[in-house]
Amino acid sequence: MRYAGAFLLATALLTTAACQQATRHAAAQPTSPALPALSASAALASSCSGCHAATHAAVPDLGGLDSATLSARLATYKYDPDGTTVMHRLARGYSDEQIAMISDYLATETAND
Amino acid sequence: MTERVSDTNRRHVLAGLGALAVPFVDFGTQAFAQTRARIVIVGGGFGGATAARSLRRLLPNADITLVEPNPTYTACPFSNLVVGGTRDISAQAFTYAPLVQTGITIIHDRAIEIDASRKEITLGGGASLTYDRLILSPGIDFRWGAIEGYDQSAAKRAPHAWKAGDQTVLLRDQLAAMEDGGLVVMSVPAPPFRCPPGPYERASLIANYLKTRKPRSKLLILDHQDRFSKMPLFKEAWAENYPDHLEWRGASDDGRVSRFDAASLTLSTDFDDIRADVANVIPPQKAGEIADRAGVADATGWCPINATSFESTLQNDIHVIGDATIAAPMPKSAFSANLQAKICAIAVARLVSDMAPEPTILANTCYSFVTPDQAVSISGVYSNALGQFSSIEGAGGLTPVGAMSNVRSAEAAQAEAWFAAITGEAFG
Amino acid sequence: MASIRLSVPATAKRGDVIELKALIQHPMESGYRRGSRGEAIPRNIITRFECRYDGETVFAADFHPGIAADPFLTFHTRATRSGPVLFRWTDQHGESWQETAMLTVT
Repeated sequence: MRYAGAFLLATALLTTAACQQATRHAAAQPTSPALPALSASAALASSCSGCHAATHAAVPDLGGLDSATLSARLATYKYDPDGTTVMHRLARGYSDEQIAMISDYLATETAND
Repeated sequence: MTERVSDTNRRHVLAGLGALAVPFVDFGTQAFAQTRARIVIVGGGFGGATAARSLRRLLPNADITLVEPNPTYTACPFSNLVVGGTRDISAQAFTYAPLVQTGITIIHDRAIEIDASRKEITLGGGASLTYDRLILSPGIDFRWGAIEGYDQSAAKRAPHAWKAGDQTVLLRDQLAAMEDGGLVVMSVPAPPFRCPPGPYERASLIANYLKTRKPRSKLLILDHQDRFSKMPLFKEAWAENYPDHLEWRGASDDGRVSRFDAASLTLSTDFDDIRADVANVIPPQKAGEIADRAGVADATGWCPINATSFESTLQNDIHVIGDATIAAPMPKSAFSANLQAKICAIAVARLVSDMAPEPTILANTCYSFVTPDQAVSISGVYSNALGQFSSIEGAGGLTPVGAMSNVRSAEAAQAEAWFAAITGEAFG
Repeated sequence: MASIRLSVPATAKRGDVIELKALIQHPMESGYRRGSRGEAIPRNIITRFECRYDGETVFAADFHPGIAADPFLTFHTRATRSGPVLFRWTDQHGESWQETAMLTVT
């Protein structure tokens, strides 16, 4: 990568730590499409936190649940043809792949809290 | 060493840094984009406060500024319970102190001009602010005078109570002061307006108040619509709970109020002049005034956006979220504003990190109380691909008509949980 | 069952120009629309409106498929004598609905 090399050379002339840090990371990883917080999974899971928090017993807190548990619950809602609760109505809007992405993201996210 | 760098070289180096706007990977488990971008959010409601907090988390090094004139925010959701006398207004109030603690700069002033070409905001106090990207979450304003005679001074006599706060308390106090046997009249505007099921929730809770406290009184709803949100559920609840205390008159049954006389509290339709003891006039609406000033509102009075990025289709680098947007079929709800804020924050963080925004799936659920302890709901699931919102077929829908009362009690509890969660997420 | 609303002043001075208003709830289905399964929705419209003041026709209109649902008419006439003001709507099948208001002229 000639561009990154040239860039490093140029930065060697700079003295502030912040600039050095920024360019070091730039050289190591010029683009990062999978930043978790900016990922497609994070965007999909954004719909959950408007209701699910550890603040009220009527809507379960999702903290500490693993991905398999979350996926299984969402699939149960999605594939129950007679279900009429809010979660039944919502789960039908997502593909199985999207459900897996949301579950993975929530499991990782809450594990980090 | 630095004295050896010529001006030309220095500019080249700095330009290189800016253009890269490099994503930064830290050594913890979470990764963030590192940018010193200056992002300004105008409007501190569910949309704006959520956007500020989301961006603070996504862009720890960015300069995040929230412009909001009021020191506290009074939430509209659940304010109909205040009108109906079963909830205290203090439960609706939120401060911005938790936002300040996370390093968001809050300017308690009003944005009065926005120059999109210079990326500059003028504040009421005279100061100005510049931005790299601006998120407008201006909520709604009223089309004063659209109902002849209903202007700001008339609203002091006949509250709209469609922005929560003093107006909510005024309507509650007028109901409390009314003598038994009085007539309460509510005027509902033509869509689109903030909170599509809101007028009917309010009607339910006013009818409940009359039934329990002033049983010889009655509520008349004069409506510019013939069909409305959750109509079968409200009709069911009204027939069951308030057969003698609530009457609804739709548009085709002479429900459209075109004139209001504040002195005599008279609402006029095409065929009728109805004198009210308490009048609640919900006026026709448009995007918050600043949207027009910024040039992001179109001839409809609302803001067209690219649904994927929430960027205005009329001005570059200005994103619009919440009630002010043209986002149908997503409703103008606090749930939508909060979620749009989160999705918009991700889009903005990606843009300032040189990544394109990606389409996603958005959900919405609106709960409405039909009695103080029973609620019904409507849900929807939406795609924002290709810059357009569209409903996902087969998803969403209403609480079933004819559900057992324990279903509606459970939904009331879920509504409480939603309010706790969403206000926690928006205001901390 | 169609719902009708009329606006006729109860009293007027002889020679006054008075405003009359009439609304009927009716779908005014044009016959050009299709349902959710693509089937044609048959035309169902009011074709004729007439207002008679003390037996004399003072206003009449022919309706066509372009008229919107729940047609609402406002028109004026001169108050000449006390008498009934009759409003009548007739649909394409010949079914009709009417309602009358009394006007007293002083």
